[in-house]
Amino acid sequence: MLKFLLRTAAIAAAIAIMPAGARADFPDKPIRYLLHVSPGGATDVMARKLAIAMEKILGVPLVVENKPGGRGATQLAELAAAKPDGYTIGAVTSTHIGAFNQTLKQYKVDSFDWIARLVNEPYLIVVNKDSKITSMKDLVEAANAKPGSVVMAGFVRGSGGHFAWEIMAKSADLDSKKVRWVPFDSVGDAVTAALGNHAEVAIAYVDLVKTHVQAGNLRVVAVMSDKRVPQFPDVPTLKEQGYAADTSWQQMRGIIGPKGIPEPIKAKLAEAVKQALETPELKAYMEESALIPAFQGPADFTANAQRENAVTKEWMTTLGLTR
Amino acid sequence: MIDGFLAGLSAFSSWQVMAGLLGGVVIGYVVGALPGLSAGVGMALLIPFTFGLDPVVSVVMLVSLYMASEYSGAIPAILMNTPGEPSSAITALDGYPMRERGEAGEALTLSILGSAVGSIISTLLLIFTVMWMTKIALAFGPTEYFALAVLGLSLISTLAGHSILRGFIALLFGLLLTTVGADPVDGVMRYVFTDNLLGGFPFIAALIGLFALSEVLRMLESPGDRVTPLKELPGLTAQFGLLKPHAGNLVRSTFIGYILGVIPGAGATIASITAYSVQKRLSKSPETFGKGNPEGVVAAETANNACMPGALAPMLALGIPGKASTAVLVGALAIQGVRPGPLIFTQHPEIPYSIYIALLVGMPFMVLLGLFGSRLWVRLTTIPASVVTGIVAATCLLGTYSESNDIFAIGVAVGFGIVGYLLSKVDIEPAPIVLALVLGYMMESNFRRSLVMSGDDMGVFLREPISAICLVLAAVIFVAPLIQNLLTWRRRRGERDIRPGVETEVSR
Repeated sequence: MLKFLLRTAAIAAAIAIMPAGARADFPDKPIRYLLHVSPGGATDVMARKLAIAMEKILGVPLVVENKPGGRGATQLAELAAAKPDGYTIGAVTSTHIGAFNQTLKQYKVDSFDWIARLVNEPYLIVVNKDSKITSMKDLVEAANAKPGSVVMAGFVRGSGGHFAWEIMAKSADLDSKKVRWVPFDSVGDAVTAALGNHAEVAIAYVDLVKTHVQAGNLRVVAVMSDKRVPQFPDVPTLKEQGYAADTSWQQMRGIIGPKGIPEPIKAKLAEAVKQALETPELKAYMEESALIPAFQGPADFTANAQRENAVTKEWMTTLGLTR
Repeated sequence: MIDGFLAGLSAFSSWQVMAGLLGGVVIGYVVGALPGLSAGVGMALLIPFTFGLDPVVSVVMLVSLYMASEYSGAIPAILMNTPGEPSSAITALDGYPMRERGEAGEALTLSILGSAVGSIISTLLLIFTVMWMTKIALAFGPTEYFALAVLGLSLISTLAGHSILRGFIALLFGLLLTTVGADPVDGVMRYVFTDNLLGGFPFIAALIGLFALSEVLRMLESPGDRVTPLKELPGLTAQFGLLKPHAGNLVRSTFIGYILGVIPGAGATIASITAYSVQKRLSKSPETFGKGNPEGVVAAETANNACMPGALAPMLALGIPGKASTAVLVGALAIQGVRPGPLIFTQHPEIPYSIYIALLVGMPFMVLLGLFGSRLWVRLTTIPASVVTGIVAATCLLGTYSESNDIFAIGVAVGFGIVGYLLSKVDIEPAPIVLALVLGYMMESNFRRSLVMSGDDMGVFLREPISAICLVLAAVIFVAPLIQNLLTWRRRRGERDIRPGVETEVSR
């Protein structure tokens, strides 16, 4: 009896001290996937599609939980407090990195484990159909000819889209103050303002404007990408238009987890993401939604997040948005 | 159009679509009746189950859920002064006093019939005017939204129960609350003591606190075995007859609801408030509003249900989700690979037309469920208050939590419950606070945006025609009762000179 107890205790102790990653059976219970957005938006839809695909690969359910509120604060607080065992992961976008430098300064890139990047989404400039602007050159000339006459709608100041515009303006040697940047509560609201011609120009994504461009209500002026996007084959890239803007500045989406997840578990999650992105369902969805597959594993993704963070910090300082 | 209808109708020959319709109505009925669990959240909870479904089944189920929950929010509003949906807070203003008089059955009947009429007429309007309505939706930019919000706030003069001054205090208190959070243009933190407040106070939690939990606290004051009387409902045909005196009200409220639904930034709550105020102005007995006038229930419920088909117009034709519920619909369609927007009528005509048919076919079913339900629900009023308070408090907190999955929201609800209770002690009602919470952010953010766009030129608000009309209307609505007040006050003072000793109160 004593022997049995001792043996049981020894086995229990061995299991307890074994590093979590060494357990080949990860995952053996459902994984929680926390989102910073309410259900129904593009980020939510993509996450749910990914969860379904990853479920089949990992063999356990991925439970999507919406934790909106406080501009990401609710999600990040819960994520940061979770056990770093791979059973709690969260969605991340470029907006989070912006928040680390503005509203949620208690977090840094280092506060989380960066598990995998999923996709990138290039920014683009659209104008109302009645606008006279047809190219980046027109836009720059209009702004220079009469400062303040061009009104540009976008997401909040300090968002990825705002910096995208600043980067484009810099490449054109245009003082960005000559264009009035009007912050809306979402990129979708900004597109609506351009549709109604309340703002002549808007910064948005391909997916949000695609049908409006096809229907002839909006016109694409420039896409911030090194290649033409398949949805708008006739729109020349910024480079073709003669502007050397850094086109690597795109909206990214990825997966993060609490700090300290064992490497093997991270690798396993990243591999599952990679495989999931290659399933026909997700491929079709990404193509439909004009998302560019941009998988990165933990190491590359962390380096990329650091780089993006450095660019963000620099622009925040330049534009005087740090507080 | 005929082709589209045929495509939509043929979809309804499959049993899955009918099952989706009936399932959606029943789930929506329950979701709407649970305080805190709003239509948007209910639809979002259902989304994972729609993955494997056909797009038509999925959208029919979600739309009928949306429709049913817009109605059933009135049930707890009338029975327990606890709005099941934000917009039914206005229903409670007169529905709850009716219940206290024992007229719960009549109030419930009027709410379901008003909802049905509003929804069906509004759906017909949607079918024939959807493309035309996109122009109205797009005509509203920051300047127009600011003016619309001001117009909405001016309605305070009709919402404030018996004292305009107290209504004002409540309104300003509400506006003060909306300043909490990151400011809409520069992201400056205002009263953000915890990160949870970055986006301001969670609205549903605040609403639940102000109405439901404060009512629970009030009920605790009286003896636990208090039971309100209950008048028997007439037979089914006579039940329909209850709607007869309200024909004009129904038409007006439907129209108001539909138009405000079309404007993406407005919504069911604003629609209810507007219809209620208009009805109060036109009523022969405005003084009984807030004290259990059936006209108030009819106006509020008709308008918020008429709002829903209106909201589908910009969502279908432009892909613009004006509110949380339509955003979920857009997401559910995106999962199926269907993009609402200008091309949906040519690329996927079966989607809009099956929505139309779902709204028209689902409503009669909803009415039957509602009418039979009302006979059942009124029994609730015969349960002792001590039991009811416990159930109300528990469901409210559960619903509040389900909205954001965040325990902070519960704290907000309880806090607002205590505040609401204390305010009721000095006769300050929660309705104007809700009005401010709904419109405060809209007013401020669009004011700031307009000024950024115009380069700090205030004149823009009077140059844009829609904005100018709204502002002038607001001024008239706001000033008229004050003048009226002054005149009554003078007259009464005159009367008092003749008959000294008669106590009068300055009221509208």
